[in-house]
Amino acid sequence: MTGEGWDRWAPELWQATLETLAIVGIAGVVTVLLGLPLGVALSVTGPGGLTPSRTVSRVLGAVVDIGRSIPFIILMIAIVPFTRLVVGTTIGSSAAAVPLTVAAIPFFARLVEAALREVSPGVVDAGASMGASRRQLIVKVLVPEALPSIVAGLTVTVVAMIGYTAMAGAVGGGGLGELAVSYGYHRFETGVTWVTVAILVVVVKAVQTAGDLCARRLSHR
Amino acid sequence: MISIRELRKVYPTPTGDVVALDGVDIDVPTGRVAGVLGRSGAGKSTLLRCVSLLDRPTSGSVLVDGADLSGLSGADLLAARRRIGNVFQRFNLLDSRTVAGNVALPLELAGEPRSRRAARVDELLELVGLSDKKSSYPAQLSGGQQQRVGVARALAARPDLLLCDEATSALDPETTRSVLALLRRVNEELGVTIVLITHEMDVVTTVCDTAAILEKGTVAASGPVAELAATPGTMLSDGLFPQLGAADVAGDGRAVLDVSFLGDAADRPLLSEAIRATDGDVTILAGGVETVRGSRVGRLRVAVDTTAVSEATKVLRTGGARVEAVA
Ligand SMILES: Nc1ncnc2c1ncn2[C@@H]1O[C@H](COP(=O)(O)OP(=O)(O)OP(=O)(O)O)[C@@H](O)[C@H]1O
Ligand SMILES: [Mg+2]
Repeated sequence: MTGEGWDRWAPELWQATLETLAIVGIAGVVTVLLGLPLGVALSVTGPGGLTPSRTVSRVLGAVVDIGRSIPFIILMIAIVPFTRLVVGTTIGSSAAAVPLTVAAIPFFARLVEAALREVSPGVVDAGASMGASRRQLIVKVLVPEALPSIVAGLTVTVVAMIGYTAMAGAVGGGGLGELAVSYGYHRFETGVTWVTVAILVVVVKAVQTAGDLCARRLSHR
Repeated sequence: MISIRELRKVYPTPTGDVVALDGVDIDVPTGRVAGVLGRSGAGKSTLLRCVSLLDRPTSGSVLVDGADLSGLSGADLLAARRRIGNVFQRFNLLDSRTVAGNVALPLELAGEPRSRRAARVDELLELVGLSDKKSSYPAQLSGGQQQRVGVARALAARPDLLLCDEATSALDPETTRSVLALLRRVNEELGVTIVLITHEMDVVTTVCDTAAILEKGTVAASGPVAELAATPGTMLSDGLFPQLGAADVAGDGRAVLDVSFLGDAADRPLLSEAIRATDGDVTILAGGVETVRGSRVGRLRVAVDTTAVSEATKVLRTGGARVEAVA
């Protein structure tokens, strides 16, 4: 890559990085908003949960597992009509955020479920013995006690999402992935590809470090 | 007054029904400390979970001041649970909350306003002697300190009844004593009725007024602790006087008697009265005297000439001792 080339790419790289961060940020927020309740529902309806229900647990479990087993590239294409319905377009970064969120929700929900299952039954018993309602047990006991693990699960989810944005970018989803493919691959500017990879590595590392720090701060064990 | 009546609890399992409680009757007078003593698997925890309304009995009832609580549901059930404090063997504190946060939890659940919560938390931490640990997290405390937090939390909502399931079983002997002393103080100063479950006899003899001995889901014996201690054959008495279990029952042609004394009877020179009255030989094979909850309790195994048995028995019984022939 020549010095002149760098001047040319630098603003575009910066723009693409911001775009990737925005996609992951929005998808991440929606994933927490929808995945957390779904994970709670999976956990409380499961065997040994607060309100075990075989039917609800089976239906939710099946939906979640189907969502997790569809390869992302197929999911992206399969939900095109849904994406158009939600954001009005099927290309660009907002369009990439939709399949990304759809893929991340079941993934995160399972991690939340596992985190909640780790909460000691004795602590839940203690809450119940104090006359906590089901809602209070979830909000005041289960989720706060599982929070460090939930944050760790969110970190794993966000890191996976960053990888998927690159894949979405390759098929017109904007961000670093699109830049790497359209310039680096189609125009043989391999330098650009390597720089995008380097940026992704830095972003992933930053997310992981921040997530670990957060989880550690929250954990008082 | 808590009356447990014909309580049965059956757990259906794939390999057949497990009868954890098989018709348990226990009375706990208001303001007293009652112990439930039993070996592992006797059904102690099951009993306590039925009283704390965490579990529903299969049949029978738990009456608190005459009101049957075991059939409650919905908001009534939650309200009734708030009137009962629970202390757990493994403390069961929330790792995510500070000491103050843990003690405040029952108040938060009851919808108490923040300002009143803070004052109550300070009061309770003062009571259990942990005011300086207010902002610590449970993981930063010793087991004994964590259990004190557990006691403070159980008392937060001003319950009339405190249930302790093996509250000291995870603690060393010295810490056990200090936690038991705290429970005794809670009973005496706040007038809270306490039901204490344990497999350790010492716990019963140090803090309990009355006790029930649970064996395989049924009450084998119950009554004031000193009386149980003086009753041969109960887990409490045999545990307190292990030397009698190991003692000889062969009297070499003489009769062997088990004699037990309680209170005043233990203070009188009954044995010499018996010897004098019978004009025969009385040999002590084993024995001991213990002080249980302020009463002296004694048990002796003696060998007596067969000709003197009936007279000796009469004298001892007249003096208030309990006499049983062993051989
Ligand atoms: N949820 C359950 N399902 C099936 N069986 C159970 C259940 N809970 C308890 N039991 C059985 O009931 C019996 C009494 O158990 P419980 O826990 O009350 O004993 P415990 O006296 O508290 O013993 P420990 O001193 O070991 O705590 C045991 O045989 C146990 O296996
Ligand atoms: Mg038990």
